[in-house]
This record gives sequence, structure tokens and C-alpha cells, in this order.
Amino acid sequence: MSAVIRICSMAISRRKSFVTALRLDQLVRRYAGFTAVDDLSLEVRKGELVTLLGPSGCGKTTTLRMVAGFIMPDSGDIWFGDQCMNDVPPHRRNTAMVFQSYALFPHMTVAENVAFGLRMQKCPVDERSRRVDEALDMVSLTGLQDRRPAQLSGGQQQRVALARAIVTRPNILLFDEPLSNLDAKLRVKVRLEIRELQTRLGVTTLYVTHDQGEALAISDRIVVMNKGRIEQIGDPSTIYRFPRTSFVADFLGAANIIEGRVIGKGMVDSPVGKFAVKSETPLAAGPVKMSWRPEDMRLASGTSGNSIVARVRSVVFYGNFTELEVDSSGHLLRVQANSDFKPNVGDTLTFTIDANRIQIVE
Amino acid sequence: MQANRLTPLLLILPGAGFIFVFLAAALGMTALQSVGLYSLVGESSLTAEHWKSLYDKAFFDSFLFSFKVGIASSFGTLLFAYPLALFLRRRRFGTRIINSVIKIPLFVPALVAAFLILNVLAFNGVLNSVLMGLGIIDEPLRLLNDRFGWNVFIIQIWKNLPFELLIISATLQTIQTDVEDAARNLGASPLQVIWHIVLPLSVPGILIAVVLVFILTFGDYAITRVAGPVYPSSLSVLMYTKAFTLQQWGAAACIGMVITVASLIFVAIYARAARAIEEMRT
Amino acid sequence: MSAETFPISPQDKPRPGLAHFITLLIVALLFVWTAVPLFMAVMWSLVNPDDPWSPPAVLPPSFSLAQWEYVFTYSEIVRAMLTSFALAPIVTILSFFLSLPTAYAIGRLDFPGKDALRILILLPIVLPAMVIAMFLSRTFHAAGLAQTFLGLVIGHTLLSMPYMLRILATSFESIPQDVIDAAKNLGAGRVALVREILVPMIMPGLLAGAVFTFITSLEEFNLTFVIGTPTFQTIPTVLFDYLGYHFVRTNAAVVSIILMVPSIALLFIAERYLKSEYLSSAFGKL
Repeated sequence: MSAVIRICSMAISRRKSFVTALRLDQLVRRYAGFTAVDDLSLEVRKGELVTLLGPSGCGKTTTLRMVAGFIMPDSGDIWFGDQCMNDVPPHRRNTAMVFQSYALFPHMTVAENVAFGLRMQKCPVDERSRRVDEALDMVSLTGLQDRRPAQLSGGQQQRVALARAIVTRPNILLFDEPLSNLDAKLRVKVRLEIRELQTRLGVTTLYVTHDQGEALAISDRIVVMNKGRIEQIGDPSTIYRFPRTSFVADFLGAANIIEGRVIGKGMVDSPVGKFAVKSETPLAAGPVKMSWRPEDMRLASGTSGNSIVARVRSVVFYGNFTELEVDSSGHLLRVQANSDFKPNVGDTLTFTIDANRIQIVE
Repeated sequence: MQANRLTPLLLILPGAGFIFVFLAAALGMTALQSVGLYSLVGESSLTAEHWKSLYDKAFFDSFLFSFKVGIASSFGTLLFAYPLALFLRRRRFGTRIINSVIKIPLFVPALVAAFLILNVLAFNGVLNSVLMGLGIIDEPLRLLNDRFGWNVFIIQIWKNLPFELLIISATLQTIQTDVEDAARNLGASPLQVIWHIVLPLSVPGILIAVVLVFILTFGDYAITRVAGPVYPSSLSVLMYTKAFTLQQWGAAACIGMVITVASLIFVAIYARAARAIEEMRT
Repeated sequence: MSAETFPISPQDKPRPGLAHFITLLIVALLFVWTAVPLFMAVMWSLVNPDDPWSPPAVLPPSFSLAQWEYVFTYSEIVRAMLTSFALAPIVTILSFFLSLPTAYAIGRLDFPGKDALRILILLPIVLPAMVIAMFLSRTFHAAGLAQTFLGLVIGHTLLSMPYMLRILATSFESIPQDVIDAAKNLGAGRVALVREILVPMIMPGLLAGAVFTFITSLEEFNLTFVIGTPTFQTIPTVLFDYLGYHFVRTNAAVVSIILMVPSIALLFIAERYLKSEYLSSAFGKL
């Protein structure tokens, strides 16, 4: 009987390791005076693109570098599949990292840069050059084999860094804020290309960024981090719609956070008004924090419930929308309105918000 | 990521170890001989008589001479090097040629530099020929072998100009042009920018250049031996004479100590200035 | 603030003509200042012994290679050249191998006492050369190394190695950590890291350091004079001879040129590598 149980659990764990490409188990990393990564646990499935998102200093880069092997965790384990990586040095982990600074080898040509990892893997010469050409083709850099990094633009250097990483067919692909040095329009274009490439190759990817738009655009799942801990994990739309803490609500997109008290079944009283709130679990009595998005606020028509009376403090035109700052009983709220909407500063308006667009956050 | 704590020590052993061993041997010998120990002529005994023997006119005159030459050379060079460095800051037409030509004396060894300048200044040298040809003087000037040591001074300036220039140029480069632009934007004329902004910020670099040239010229032997006056001689020449001609190694060692200590004091100043530069850079 | 309050002052307007003229003037002055002494030396080496040159003539009346023949036949110059050109490469290679690990440690590792170490390395070139020369020779005397080739090698290395060390240390330091991490990330173990990344990236500094060390050894005088002569002569000691008691201007001119040519030649060949960064890194940093 115990043998059966053992065989079953082995079968289950092997299946699990087939599906879980990367597992971080209670990782801790401290530096003098502060804890950079505080008891972090995470599972990444094979082929998934998971983004570590957070402000600078939240521990995302430290975590990434621990996966790469450049930093040793103080405690906790790192598993690639069913192999524990704790004692494996960086050059034997079969990960590939795209650095923020690209870190191209200045004394080598583009082709030599891309071929480097293959040479380390002792890949034979003809296969090597074939795969290099293939990788360069995938990032649309064919023909630049003999250039040196110094002769390339920032965008081109970034692609070389990408080609160099993917050509080695790593188990895990790591990105450390790869787009920070590109200008805004290029960033939007390149991040989609990275996503396409990653999906096509099916490689498990850990991506670090502080740009929430980037995270929302390309991730299978987002891990929002703050002060070394995970605030919330989820796919982009879930995290955006249903943030669980005020930090997550405010970091991903903008949020109006209002404190109030529960005064009945699904009713919250607050300085800016009384609100009917829909939530999965019944609300316990006591103080709560409500969060809703500026774009979910609408002008009230007639007597809809959940009304907020506010005076307009500022009107800013952003091209594709107008942002209003309004004052309701001393609380400043942000409203995102249609770009044609041009109220005057000082006008008093009534807004409303849907019950299911209000999130209760911690 | 360091393999172990021993690694750095093992790595620095060849280079630093070599320097340490032989430098310590040389300086140690100097110190020992100055107090009478390890004498290779006569008796070895701890004594202060060598130091006492220093208290004579020859030593003080030499000290003053070396000091004077050092200060004059280092600051004299600065007088030319600083404006040149300022001039060469921005790329103009001619900057490249100047940069190449100016580096040449750097690679001319001290002895050769001494000869070259002596040659020009000599009684039958080109300077006299040109001056006579232009009618400025009737008879050739006797510029060499004067008591002040003008030729030593000129030779040192000729030799050390590119050296100071390079150090000061490097310092000036650390001053961002943005800072100067801000000053100009706030109403400062180019001269005021130099006086209020560039000059104060380049002080560490100036200090380094001046200190290094001072040390070199203060303790110089070859140039002053070849081009300097017979009396007073520079400290190094005096030291050499006492040792090899008069066989007074103890006294020579004392002079050696004096020169070394003086240089070390200036090295300390250099170290402070260099650290200030590092801090400015970060 | 209206425009009238701060008018453009006259001296702010650019005057290209004047600027160009001043530049030309400076270039000319520098040229005279630098080139004339050199030129004069060349002239003196080519004086015809049968046609003496004296003021107010600016150039010698006729040229001949007689002085060169004289020096090469009757002086120690050939022996000295052999010694000089034997010493310099040996010293350079020895300096390289001694400096390499230390430069790596200073450039890339962190350890206590680094600042003090940097000063130690600087000392041989800032402390008075004659003092070191004289008292090192005393030590060598006691150790039986005086008047030996090995003694000369040690002495030259002591005085030249700091240049190599400092330049190499700067080269190591300037390798971005990211590049090393990327190489490790892509599979480079320790050997591959050294071979593929470290060595190629310090190559320019290495060459600059080698040039510096070579030239420093060639030109070294004080130490060779005290430890080596009369058994060994190098080009600088021969020159000193001709500048001292046997002051013969023409001989001195010839030997000066022999001493200068390799230095200046190396300068122009290595102009690519000898960027001011290397020169100032040799002295300007701690």
C-alpha cells in the first residue's frame, strides 16, 4: 500500500516538475540593514512569461539575479524543474539573461557575440553559424553580422542582446528591464516583438520591469512586488480589475482610494458618499478601504445610486482623454473623462460609479 | 563573489611584494646608515653624528637651492600649462597638432632634455645666434652656469610642461560643460566662469600636477648635475658627492632621509588631492 | 526681465579671425619651443669636423656623418645599446608577469588596505630616484648583486613596473561587471572568461603599459649609473659621460638622438593606445 502511495506521489511530482519549470521556495536575501527579498515563493509554468513588477528597491532584480546565480540566497531554494540549483554556478545553469545595459562584448562582432554561448556549449562550427544566422533573422538583424557593438544604434544593440540570449535555447530566459534605455515609441514596438518571439519559442521567461504598461501588455502573469514581498500574483486583467491591496491598485494604473465604514449588507459609508459595493465574500463590519479607477467614474444622470458630488479643481487635456481632479468633501479624486469633456474649474458636478467597479482593498 | 579571503593577498603578492621588498631594502638602508648602522666603511654604531654633520652651510644652501628650483619649476610650468589646458579644452582647428607636438618632451629623457636646452642656450648656441642676427644684442650672452640655476629651471619647464598639461587637462575634463553653461546663463562672463567655477574645481588636479613635478625636480640629480651651478648643488648631487667622493656615507644617508621625508610629505598632499578628485567624480 | 536689461556684451561676440590668429601663434610658438632644441641637436650631430660651426651662423656650413662614425667607433655606445636593448624587453616582460595578478586584484576585487596599496605602488616613481639608486646599490653590494645584470634588471623593474601596474589596474577596472556577468551567464567558466573577455579587453592597456615600461627602462639613468657602471653601460650613462667632464657637444648630440629615436618612434606608433586616459591614469588617480 505504501509502495502504491510512493509510486503515485512520484508520478504526481514528476508531472508537476514537467509543468513547473521554475520554482522559488521561500527565498530570502538580506543586505546590511535591510531585507531585499523577504520569504518569496513563486512557481512558473513551462513556456509562461511571468513579470516581476514593482518600484525600484522592491527586490525584483535581486530575485532575478538569484535565479541567474549571480547572487546567493541567504535561505530558500531555487528549482529548475526537479533539479535544485542552489549550488550550481551561473555558467552551468543554462539560463540566458538580457541585461538593461545589453552587456555586449565590445571587442567582438555581432556574429561573435551571438555565437558566444554556443561556443561555450561546444557547438560545432557549421551548426553554430547556422543557428547564429537564424537567431539574427528572428530579431530582424540579418546582414549586420560583422558590425561591432559601437557601430550599432541602441535598438540594434538590444536586438543583438536578445539574439545572443535565445540562440542558446536556454531553459529559462531572463530579462532585466531590457527596454529602459529605449525611447517610448520604440519601447512599445519592441516589447511586443519580444512577446511574439517568446511565444513562438515557448521558452519559460522571467521578466523584470517597473513599467506597469509593459507588464500588462506582455505578461501571462504579473507578480507585483513591494519591499521584498509579493503583494499579488495574477494575470493582467484580473490584477487590474481586482487589485487586492491599495499598493497594487495604485501601482497598476491609477486608483482613487477612499476609507469608509461598512454600514449594512454591501453598503459602505464614506466622506464622499454612501456606496453599494458588490463583493464575493460578505463584508465584515468595520473600517474598509475602497478603490476604483478614474476611468470608471461617469457623470451621474438622474438619480443613480453611488453618487459623488465634487467640485472641479483642475482639467488636464491628454490627447486621448481628459483628466479631472475633483474635490469631494476635502478628498481629491481623479476622473478620466472623454477628451471632448471640458468643464470649467470651479464647476460642481455629480459623478457615479458602478457597484461592481468598486474594489475592497487592504 | 570572492573564492576566499586569501585570494586577494595571493594575487597582490607578486607585484606589490616585489615593490615592497626592494623599496623597503633601499629606504631601510638609508635610514640605518643615517644613524650610523650598517656602515660599509669603518665602524657600525648607533650615532647621531651624521645628522649633526649636516648642520653646515653647504647643506642649507643645497636645501634652499633644491627647494627653490622645485617651487619655481612646478609653478613656472603651471603658468604655461594651465592656460594651455584651458585653451585646448574645446576642439578648435589646430588642437590635434598641438596635442601631438606638445607630448614630445614627455618622451625625451631628462639627460637629453638637459643637453638640448643647454645646447640652445650656450655661448655659441642658436639663441645667441638668433639674437645677434636680429641685432638685439652685440655679444653672445653667458646664460649657463649662473648661481640662480636658470637653465635648470628652463630645462625642467621644457621637460615637464606636457606632464602637467596632461594631468590638468584630465582634471578639466571632469568639469562638465553643463556647469559652465549654467554659470554663463546666470550672467558670468567667460573670464568670470574661469575664475569662479573652473579654477576652484580644478584645484585638486593642479595640486597633483604641482606636487608631482615638485617632487621630481626637488630630488633631481641628473639635470642639476649637468646643467646646474657648481655651488650650491642640489641636494641629490650633494648626497652623491658626500657618498662617492668624500666617502661620507652616513652624512649622505641623512641627506637621503631628508629628501625622502620631504617627498613623502608631498606624496601625502598628492594623496589627499587625488582622493578629492575621486569624490568629485562620483 | 526684458531684453534691454541684459544686453549682449561686445566681448561675447565671436571673432573668428582673431581666434584663428591666436591659435596659429600658439601652434607656432609651441613648435619653436619643442622642435628647435631637437632640431639643433640633429644639426650638431651632423657637423663637419673640417668646417667648424660657430656663431653668428644659425646653421652649420656643411654636413657630414663624421660625428656619427666617430661615436660608433670610439665610444662604448655599441656595448651600451646592446645592454639597453637587452634590458628593456626583459624588464617589460618581467614587469608584466609581476603586475598582472596585482593589477587584477586592484582593478576588480575589494579588500582592506587597497588605498594604501595604491600609494605603495606609486612610491618608486615619486620618491627621489637617486636616493633609491644609491641605497639600493648598498643593499645589492651586501647581497653581491652590485655590478650585475640581475641587479640592473631588478632595479629597472622596480622603477618601471608601477606604470604597467597602474595602467593595467585601470584597464581591469574599466571592464563593466555586466559584461563579465553576461559571459558567465552564457556558459563561460573561469578559463573561458579570462581567455575570451579579460585578456582581449585589457589588451590596449597592456600595450600602453608595455610601451611605457620599455621607454622608462631605456631612459633610466640614476640607478644604472650607480649600480651598473662601469661594468655595464647603457645609452643614458654614455650620454652622461659626454655631458660631464668630457663635454663634446657633437658626441653628446649623436648619443642624444640615439636615445630619443626609439622613444619618439614608440610614441608615434602607439599614439592610438596612448590616450591621455592612460597617461593621466598613471599619475592622476590615487
